[in-house]
Amino acid sequence: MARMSVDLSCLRAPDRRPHRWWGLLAWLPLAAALAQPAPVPPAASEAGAAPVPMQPAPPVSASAQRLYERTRAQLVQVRTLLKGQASQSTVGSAFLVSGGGHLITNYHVVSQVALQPQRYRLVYTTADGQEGPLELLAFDAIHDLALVRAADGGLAGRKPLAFRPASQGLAKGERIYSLGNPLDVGFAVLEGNYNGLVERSFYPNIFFAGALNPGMSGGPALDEDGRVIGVNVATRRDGQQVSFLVPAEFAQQLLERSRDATPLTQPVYPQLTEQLLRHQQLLVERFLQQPWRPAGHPRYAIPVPQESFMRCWGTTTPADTKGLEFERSDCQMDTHIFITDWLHTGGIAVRHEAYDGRKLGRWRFASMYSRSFANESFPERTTRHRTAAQCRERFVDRDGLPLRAVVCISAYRKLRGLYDLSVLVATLDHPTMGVQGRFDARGVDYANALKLTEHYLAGYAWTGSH
Amino acid sequence: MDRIALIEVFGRDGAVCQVVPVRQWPVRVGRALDCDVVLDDPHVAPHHLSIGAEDGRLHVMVGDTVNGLRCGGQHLPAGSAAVRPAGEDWMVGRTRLRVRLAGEQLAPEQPLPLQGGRLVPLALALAGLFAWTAWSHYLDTEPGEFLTSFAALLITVSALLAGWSFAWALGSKLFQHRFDYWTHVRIAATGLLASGVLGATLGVLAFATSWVLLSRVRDAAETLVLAGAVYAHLGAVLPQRRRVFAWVVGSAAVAGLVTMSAFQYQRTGRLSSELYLTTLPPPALRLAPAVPPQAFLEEVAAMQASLDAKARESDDDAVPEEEEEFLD
Repeated sequence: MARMSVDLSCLRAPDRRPHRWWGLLAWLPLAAALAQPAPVPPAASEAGAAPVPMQPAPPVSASAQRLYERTRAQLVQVRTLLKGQASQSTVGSAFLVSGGGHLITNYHVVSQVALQPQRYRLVYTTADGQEGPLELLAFDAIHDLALVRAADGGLAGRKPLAFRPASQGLAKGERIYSLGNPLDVGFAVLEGNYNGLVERSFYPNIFFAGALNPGMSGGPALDEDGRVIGVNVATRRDGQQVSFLVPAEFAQQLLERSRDATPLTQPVYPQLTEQLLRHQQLLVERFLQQPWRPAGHPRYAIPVPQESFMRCWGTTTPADTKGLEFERSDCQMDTHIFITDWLHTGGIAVRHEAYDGRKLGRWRFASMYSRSFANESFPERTTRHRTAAQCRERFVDRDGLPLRAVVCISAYRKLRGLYDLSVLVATLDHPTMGVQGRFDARGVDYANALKLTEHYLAGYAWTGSH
Repeated sequence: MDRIALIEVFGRDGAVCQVVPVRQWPVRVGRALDCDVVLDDPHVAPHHLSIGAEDGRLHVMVGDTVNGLRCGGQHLPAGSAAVRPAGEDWMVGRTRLRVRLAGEQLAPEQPLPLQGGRLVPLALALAGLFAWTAWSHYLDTEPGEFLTSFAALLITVSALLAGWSFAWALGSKLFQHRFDYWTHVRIAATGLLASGVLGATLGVLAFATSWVLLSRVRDAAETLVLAGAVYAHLGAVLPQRRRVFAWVVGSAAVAGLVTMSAFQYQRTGRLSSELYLTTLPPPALRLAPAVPPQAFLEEVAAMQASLDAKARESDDDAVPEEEEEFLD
């Protein structure tokens, strides 16, 4: 899930929404960092010694220290290496969940190996400097989890971390500890607070008030007793100490499901496709069940989504504007599914602008209305993952309200059967008033793309009072 | 003695630079001083040719020359003789000359272009261009901004138009010995106005009929109109080469359009840069009917086959993802 949502571009008005950026926690090191020797055993000595000489240790740090001492043997750094060389491409973290050397990490930590096993390999490094190869057993891209195992049996016999039972909920404010290897600097334990689940998230996600850093992806978050409550996954770059954990139950399910799976040695596009098809089916079904919210416009019914798993921001022009007046609403899901650094999918976005150009006159309004309609971007070029968009356009009649509707779709090339859908709509019934809207759904199958288009178009009409 | 013929020698720019009256035949042409017509051209022999006349036709004897003589489309080598009509263009070395006989048929006199007749199209073109510029600018500005910014725009457009026409007028001066400034102003203003109006009209028509092809060809149509203007400029500079210019400008414009479309196709798989129709004039101009959503959805459903075919194509020509922008 998660990880990158840049604002939908619109050049028409200054965007006053807070910018929201998700930061992935797998770390792509800079060139300078590549030259570093393979992690030396420093972690143990440094972490063990650090709190002592600095200052009198407060009680919380004492428990962090105790936890780290207890769990450092179950903690590893996961590095993706280019086959044939020792340089690392990305780094993340993982933790032991079985006596047989099974480890849980994030899908995005191992995505390069999952998609290009012929080019990349995975290795682990423990806190005491032991190294060895890893094999990928299974993954859950929807929750951004992966199950790997030490291929050399080097981690066998170590005591795994236990999962905290889902029945024992945590209270808001409880202290929790996140472990990992931030920025390849060294193994670390960071304290923070449990803050419940993220609101309006499509899949449950734990809101962790603590500082997660790149490289900690896939590391465990533990309660005071050292039991796993979640897996480090993402942080908000525009906030401070606003970080996210995948609830442990999904990791536990993945382990139970795939403990004895045969290692994946071919690109995992078929499995990814299957998971994404399931996700989009669930998402579209839930989305279509929800009626549109009224937009409160006197003339038009405009489709605005419920905010159960979307977040909406609105702007409007200042009251004393001399030109075009508009109101804007922009809703999108925070949930995006990471496939590669270049492809994030599985989200929905809905937005509209309601224009009032009575101060402009019809020709000026038409000119600005056209420019606004033109100011949209689509995938113009075919990439390795996705075709260029193809469009169909038509005047569409919505119970007497004429619309210009444009549907642009691009097909995924390696995730066959999935498409990115965009629908553009402009109302055409008034010389100086109108609404333009855009609907986007990423990674849906064709039948659902059609259903969503129909649903979106049906959201437009004249209001009863018109 | 009466003048029985006239030999006109042309300079490289096509103007007559030497006129030799003929009072008796034969006439010798060459570089030597004892010739009747002495040419200053290194590709001409000392005694290149001699010309006589009988019954209104010219008798040519080509002398001892390397390059021979070119009459009409025919090449006469050294030592040959021929009978040619009067009034033809002959190439002697690199010099063009023409022999006119007394009693020739003259083309009728051409009337001078009326002063008013030339002024009206110029005034119309200029007025049209400025009105069009003002209208486009009006559409692009918010209320209250138009007048303040229009003066600057007007000055810019005028300066560009003046500079462009001045450059072409220098060409006219060079080849026509006439500084034809206002002709070039008229051509440039007409071309700009026509391309602007045509582009806008195609956009509005595409909207009215929902026939989006009209909008897709807009760039090509504007380019061809501007190419027409360049052809008109060239024609005004060197009128005798109009045919050549028509071919050159026409093929350059077509080649340019084909190249642009090929690049566009390579990048996006489409021939035109426009992904969808973006012109939305006032709704009253819409003529095409609005279809029920279901009919539109059927069209969208039919698009799946071509998308899937595209997705299956080899990805050799796909751009690396790094170059693709993220959309949301």
